[in-house]
Amino acid sequence: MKRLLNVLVVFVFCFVFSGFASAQNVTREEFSKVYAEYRAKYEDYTKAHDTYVLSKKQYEQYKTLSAKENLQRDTQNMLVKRDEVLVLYYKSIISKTGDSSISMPEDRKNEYTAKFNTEISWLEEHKGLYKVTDSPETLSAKSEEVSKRYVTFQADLYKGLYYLARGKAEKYSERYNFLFNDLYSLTEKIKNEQRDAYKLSDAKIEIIDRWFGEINLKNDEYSKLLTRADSEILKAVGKESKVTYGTSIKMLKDAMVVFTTRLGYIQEIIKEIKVSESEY
Amino acid sequence: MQKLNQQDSVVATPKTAIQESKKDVFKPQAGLKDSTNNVLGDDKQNREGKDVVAKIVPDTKQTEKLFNIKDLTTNLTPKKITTLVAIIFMALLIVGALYVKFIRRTPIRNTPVLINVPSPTYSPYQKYKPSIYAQDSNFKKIDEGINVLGNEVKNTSLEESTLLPPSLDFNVNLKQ
Repeated sequence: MKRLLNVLVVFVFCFVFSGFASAQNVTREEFSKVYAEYRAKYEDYTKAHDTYVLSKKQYEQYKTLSAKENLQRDTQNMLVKRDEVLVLYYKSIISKTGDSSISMPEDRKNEYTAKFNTEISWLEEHKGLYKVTDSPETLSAKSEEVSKRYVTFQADLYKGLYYLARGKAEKYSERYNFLFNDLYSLTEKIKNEQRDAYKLSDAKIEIIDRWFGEINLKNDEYSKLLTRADSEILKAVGKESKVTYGTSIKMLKDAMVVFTTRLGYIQEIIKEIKVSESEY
Repeated sequence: MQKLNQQDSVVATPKTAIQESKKDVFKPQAGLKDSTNNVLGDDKQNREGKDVVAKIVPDTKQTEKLFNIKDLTTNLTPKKITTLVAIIFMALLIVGALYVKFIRRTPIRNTPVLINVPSPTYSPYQKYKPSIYAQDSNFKKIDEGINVLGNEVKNTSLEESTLLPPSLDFNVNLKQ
């Protein structure tokens, strides 16, 4: 009976963890699939756009009925593909938020997923409004609707992109904190060690403590830079969002420089503990 | 015998005589072999054969030089000029080939070539004794984790550059 219970426990354990691992793979696979579709659609759009440009030139030059017909057909085709590109682009971003290398708070993830989904729904509906029978002016007007919507959405789009990068930094921080806490608790244990062979001198403990203090200073610097970057991205509005995004990303990169310095400091502490105080 | 008599009649024209004598004297024909090796033992035949050869030799045109360099430089005709040019060209070609093969060396560049040799950095050997924690698995694990994390941070871009907005044409202004 006991053996049966053990087997059952192992089975449940394996089942749960294999499910967890495959969930991560599903997210990545899903992203790869959506991203590939998005790139393929973009290629289609580029071709359709080239055809549209040619038709437009011919219409402007000849002003014939057939040229107009061609222009309407090619513009409609290009506009549909443009909307589809945007849909797949937004879907790629949503899919990326589920990547295991990105740590994003659930509420933020839900908030941005909802925002992107709203845009996707609107575009899906809007692309059905383009008709071959629409006059060039009507097609222009319908295109303008998407353009305005896209400009309005720029702030949320760039914020979403920023939070992807921020999520990566957050993931690195989580891993760092885990390692730092391990080291700190080990060092505390050593400091309390009473056995002569395992004991560290007061001078060495003082050095290690000071170095931990240096790391804490860097922690503050790192946190400040992250806060500054987070505040900066909130300033994103309309067309200017791209510039704001660039500034925020630069701040994040500066924060990562401090992050790398902290890693170096930790390695120095480990080295210091590994070296004996007594010389050969 | 009949053959030898024929040779006698050829003597009058030296060129044909030479040709004929080449045919009869130098080719390993049976009759000639007989006369030179004296196998047959017929003295009269041999004597007559030798006389024929003696008559061919003193042809005056054969003793002249076949080629004279002066002939090439005087009374220049287009053919001679072509020959002369060809000879000079061949000579130059041979001299050039010999020069390249045996004399020429790789030209020395005047511009100095800067080679970035890695400058050795001085790192004094610091002898240290490993502490009791040097082989501790906990420290090793943390050290390894820090190395992996550091490499990831260095080699991975923070920004998702592939997900930046696509370049799309929103400026669709069509007029009737």
